[in-house]
Amino acid sequence: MRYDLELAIGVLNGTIGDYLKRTGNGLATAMTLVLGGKALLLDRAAIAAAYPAPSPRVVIFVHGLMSTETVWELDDGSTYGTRLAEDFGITPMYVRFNSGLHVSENGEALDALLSQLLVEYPVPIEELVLVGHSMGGLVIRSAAHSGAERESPWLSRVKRAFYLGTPHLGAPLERFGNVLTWVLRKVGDTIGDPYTPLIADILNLRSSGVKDLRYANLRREDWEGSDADALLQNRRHPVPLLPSIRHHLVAATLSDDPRLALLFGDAIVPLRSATGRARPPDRAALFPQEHVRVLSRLDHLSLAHEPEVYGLLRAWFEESP
Amino acid sequence: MNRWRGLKSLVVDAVEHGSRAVEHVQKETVRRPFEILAKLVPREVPVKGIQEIHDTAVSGIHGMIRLVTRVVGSTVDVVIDVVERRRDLAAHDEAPPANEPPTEVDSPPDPIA
Repeated sequence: MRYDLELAIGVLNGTIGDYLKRTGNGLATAMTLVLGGKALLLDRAAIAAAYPAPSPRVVIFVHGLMSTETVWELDDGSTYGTRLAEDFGITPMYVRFNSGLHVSENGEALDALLSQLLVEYPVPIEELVLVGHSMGGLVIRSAAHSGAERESPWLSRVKRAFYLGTPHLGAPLERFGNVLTWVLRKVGDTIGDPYTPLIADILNLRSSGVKDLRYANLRREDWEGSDADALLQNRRHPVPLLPSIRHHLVAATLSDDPRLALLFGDAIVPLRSATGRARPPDRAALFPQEHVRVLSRLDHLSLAHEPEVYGLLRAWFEESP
Repeated sequence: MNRWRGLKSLVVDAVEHGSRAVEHVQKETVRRPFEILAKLVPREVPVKGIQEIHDTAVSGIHGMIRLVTRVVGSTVDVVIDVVERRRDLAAHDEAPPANEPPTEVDSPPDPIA
């Protein structure tokens, strides 16, 4: 019941989380580490109590849009984190955040959270591994960008980052939403019908986080001072991949058929976006393809709790960083 | 309690914004028929006046909806305050004296609860 409630609040945050934060609403989720559904206070004593045998290797899991840390749970109750703890002795930590905020806002918050974790963690952190599902991957990249700008010390501990179904080049579903609302507004204004602009207004209530997915905005400059509802405006500033981090990408496709796979991807994120195959007009960093894996007959959400995906993570973890 | 307050605010906001949007749509919907009517019917029929009465009635109804919502919202706020105060008092009564050590490890507070 509690988990259902948290998930419902996660969905609400993803939908209108920016409004909730702006109005000081108590339903707005603050970025925090969570364990067993409860927020973990970021101080040494609380972390030591929650993790009696902390490892110097820590893996941070960041969920996606309209989600919570429960997305990482496999059918048998384990998570990639608990499995990594068993197999490699790594300490797993889970982030919960308001996915309705701009990706860059969450990136800055994650940067701050990891900086504090580095100070408060009971033993010195030697390696920090970042795993992001869907939007969570963008938040990780945004945090790395913010960390690089502020010279955050945690960044030097990161050797590997994993992106599961992350829309590195944006999501066409959001672009469709943008076109639809623009057309509805224009139609309403042209024929003088008051209903169609109202529908457009309601659809435009979707959060800043959702709108950031249109072109995978990672930086504040991508959205600041712009009209979020303007028609298909790509204001993305390229964020170069940090050379000190090895970037691993996992994409899913619903179908085995290569044409259908290319067209529909995992139903939410197309293959080209999830594998980071950027072209010059995308104004995005091109991901090296040697650490990209594509799994077929898998949907977007399953990427966060699928034994086959864990098999890939495990194989990558067996390689030296 | 913070979340209950948030839920209450969300409902009040939704009614407030929804009511304003519906009011605007209702007035806009009848604007054109009234314009056409004003051109068709004889001058002695006060179409403009009828439209003003209609718009005033619509504004009145929606204003009342918003007023009642705000009153109910404020009442819920008071109820939440009372429940919160009683809870705090009960927690204070149950807490061990300051010189006694706590019997179990305190769990970290949930900052979003």
